Amino acid sequence: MKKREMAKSDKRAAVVESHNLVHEYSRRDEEGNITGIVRALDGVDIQVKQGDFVAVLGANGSGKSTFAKHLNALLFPTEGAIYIDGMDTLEQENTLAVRQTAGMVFQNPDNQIIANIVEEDVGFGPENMGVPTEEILRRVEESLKETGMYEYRKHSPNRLSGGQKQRVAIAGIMAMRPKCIILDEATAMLDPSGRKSVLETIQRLNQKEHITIILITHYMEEAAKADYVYVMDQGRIALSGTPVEIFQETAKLAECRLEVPQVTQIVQRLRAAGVLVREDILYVEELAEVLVQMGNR
Amino acid sequence: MIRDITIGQYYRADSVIHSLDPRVKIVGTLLYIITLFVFSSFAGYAVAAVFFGILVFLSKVPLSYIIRGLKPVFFVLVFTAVLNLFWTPGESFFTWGVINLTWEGLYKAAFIALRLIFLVLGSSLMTFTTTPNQLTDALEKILRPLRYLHVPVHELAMMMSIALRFIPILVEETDKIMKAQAARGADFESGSMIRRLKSMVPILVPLFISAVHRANDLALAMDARCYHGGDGRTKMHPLRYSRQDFVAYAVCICYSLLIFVV
Amino acid sequence: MSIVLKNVSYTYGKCGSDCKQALKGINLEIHKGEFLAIVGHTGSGKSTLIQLLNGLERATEGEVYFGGENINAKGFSMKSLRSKVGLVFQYPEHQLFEATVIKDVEFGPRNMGQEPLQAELNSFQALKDVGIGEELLDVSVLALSGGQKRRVAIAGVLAMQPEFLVLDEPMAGLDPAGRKEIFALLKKLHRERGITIVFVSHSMEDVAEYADRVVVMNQGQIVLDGRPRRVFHYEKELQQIGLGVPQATQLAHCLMERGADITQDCLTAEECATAVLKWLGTRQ
Repeated sequence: MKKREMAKSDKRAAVVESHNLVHEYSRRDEEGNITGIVRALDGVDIQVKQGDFVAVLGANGSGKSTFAKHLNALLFPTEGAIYIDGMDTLEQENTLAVRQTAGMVFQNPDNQIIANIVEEDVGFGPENMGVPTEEILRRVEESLKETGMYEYRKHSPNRLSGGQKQRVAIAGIMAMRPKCIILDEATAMLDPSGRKSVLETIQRLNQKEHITIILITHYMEEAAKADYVYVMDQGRIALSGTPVEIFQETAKLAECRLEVPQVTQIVQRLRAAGVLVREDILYVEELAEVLVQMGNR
Repeated sequence: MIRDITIGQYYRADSVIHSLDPRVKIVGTLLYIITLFVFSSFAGYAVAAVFFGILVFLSKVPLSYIIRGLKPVFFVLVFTAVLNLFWTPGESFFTWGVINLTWEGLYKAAFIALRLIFLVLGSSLMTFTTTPNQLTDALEKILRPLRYLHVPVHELAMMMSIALRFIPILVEETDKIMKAQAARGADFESGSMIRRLKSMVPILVPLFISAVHRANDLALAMDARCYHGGDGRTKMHPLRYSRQDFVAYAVCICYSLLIFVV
Repeated sequence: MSIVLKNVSYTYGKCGSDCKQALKGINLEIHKGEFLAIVGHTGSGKSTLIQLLNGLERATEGEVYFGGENINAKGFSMKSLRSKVGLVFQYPEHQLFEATVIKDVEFGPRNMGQEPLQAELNSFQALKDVGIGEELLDVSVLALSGGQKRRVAIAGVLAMQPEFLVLDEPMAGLDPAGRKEIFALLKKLHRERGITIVFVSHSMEDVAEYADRVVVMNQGQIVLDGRPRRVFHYEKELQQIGLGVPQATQLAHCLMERGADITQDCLTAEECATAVLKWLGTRQ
């Protein structure tokens, strides 16, 4: 909360800034004739400041992944513009710098690990950037320690769990010294413990290293950890605000094919029945504490 | 089944052989294979056996593990030996119907079988002691001059390394798809040859689709990590010769000379 | 008609070198008409367990019975077992391969030896059941959305007219609304067609809401088995093996620990809110 209020008044640079971002692609039939035009993004305005932890929520097909790919110069705007650390992604000479500034972790853990050994995969980015050998070794060691994967540095990625693979992928991005990490549904294929370990890792990077995090997901529990949330639906920003603000909009979220966590549901039911617990409670322990106080009064 | 194949696998150990520059190992293995085709007496094999024995001892890879590598080539081994045994003309020592065995045949069969065994054992010692990554790195470096002939050496090495990474994933996936189709009553084992080939379609189509998806994902992931070909790339573990590598080269050359003498 | 596992163990690989015991001493009876959830940490043996149910994997020790018959006995028809116990794998849409939706769904029933017309009829019905409209029958499977593909894949198993439908994480990768649609479908099949449902899940909220029995696995063994309300009573034990309980249950437990007079194990937000209101009512 406090962090957000600061953000409104502070002069921190925007790492990501999109203005009226539109992305269209044409749908083709089997002969390759254009049968229609799909507007995957329809006027998206987003601003993320250095050091923020932002979640982009949305159901499947809401356009959130298309948006993510714009952040990494993997897709380009049809209309409007997107700036990464002030660089226009449409300018071709910016491409490599954009990708180095905003690193991307993808959904499928298997399909983004390139090398056959963990540490060599982490070194892949810096190698591409032409970083000197000594520096690569130092970065790889640091990144693996930051993500808690150092003891697996000599392992083959095939034997790791999904959560561990994603942490290797995060280390691979960290070794490129980015300002911002984008997680494009990076937790969607993980089990609860894998999801937890990835979330803890990115929260730590956000707090300790001040890395900007953009978490793209459809899990509300994950969005609850962010400073600010954008909800996407049909290529547009349907809602935006702090997690607490967003979770009040149960009906609107349902329209976007999303659902609030059980704790929020319970709070809302209690409030509807006249028990006025605070609206901004997101965690079980917190709610229990408040209720016990009320019961003892 | 697939788990039994040890050939081409890396055996992790801390030994002199493991720490050698992979280029030495590739060149050494090549020399070793060439020498196998040079000598024509069993004395040559004795020298080769001693040399190989020392290498195995130094490598700390269990001999039984290396010998297991012969399993998948066992059939080829028996086949060539039998062919030579039956079809070599010469002084016969056993005749029964159309079967005519000759001393020359026996000699040649043993000789060829030994040559094959030594060949497989030698090259598997290389793969046991060298990671696939080191191998591709070394090949990239050795073949580097071919760049001037416009051979995309870096790209080929990268493809090889990616293939190595994805083979186990695709094997696992094939297994999963086979099970899923078996759950829908697919039968891969009975019926005529044509029926069996046809029964592969429900496996191959999803496997192909998945491979294309994976390739697409991987290309994006490589782009996202600033991959733009081999130009301006640095190496995390650049290949540098140390003194032991020069010693190893010297040993290899001495061995080759010795073989030529024998 | 039920599936019975008697003292079943399953070991990967050859023992001595690198074997891994995935299941040990499993005793389980799945009754007709149940809506059963199997939960457990990754690697707890859930996936192996469900593959034993239709004979895809063979128990290394112990027996599996279907309708009283040992499925590994000579003369037992594995094919008919596969049609009676339909197994839907994780991300089943990855196994679609035919050119059109209806053709893919017909693959199962045809393998089972159904007449072409019958197979088509059953496939048509199955697609209707999963909510795939007629206009999509002759469409390429590649043109469908993710959620549609998954439903087509489930229809592919349903068309074999199974008595038991076993699903490995049927909601993996779907958004909240997509999950609800899949569960609504499973509930409908359970209620209207009388199909026994067995599903593997990581979501305790889903288990609490839909299942009438939960089997909890840990390290190849069944550690808890019973109605969700009873099983979720053991929050501490579940946490120890890397699992949790629904937030509603957790809240009720938290309040109980702090001395609140809530006696019931709550499963859903509604139940929990009601229990809390009742307790607060007695305090004022």
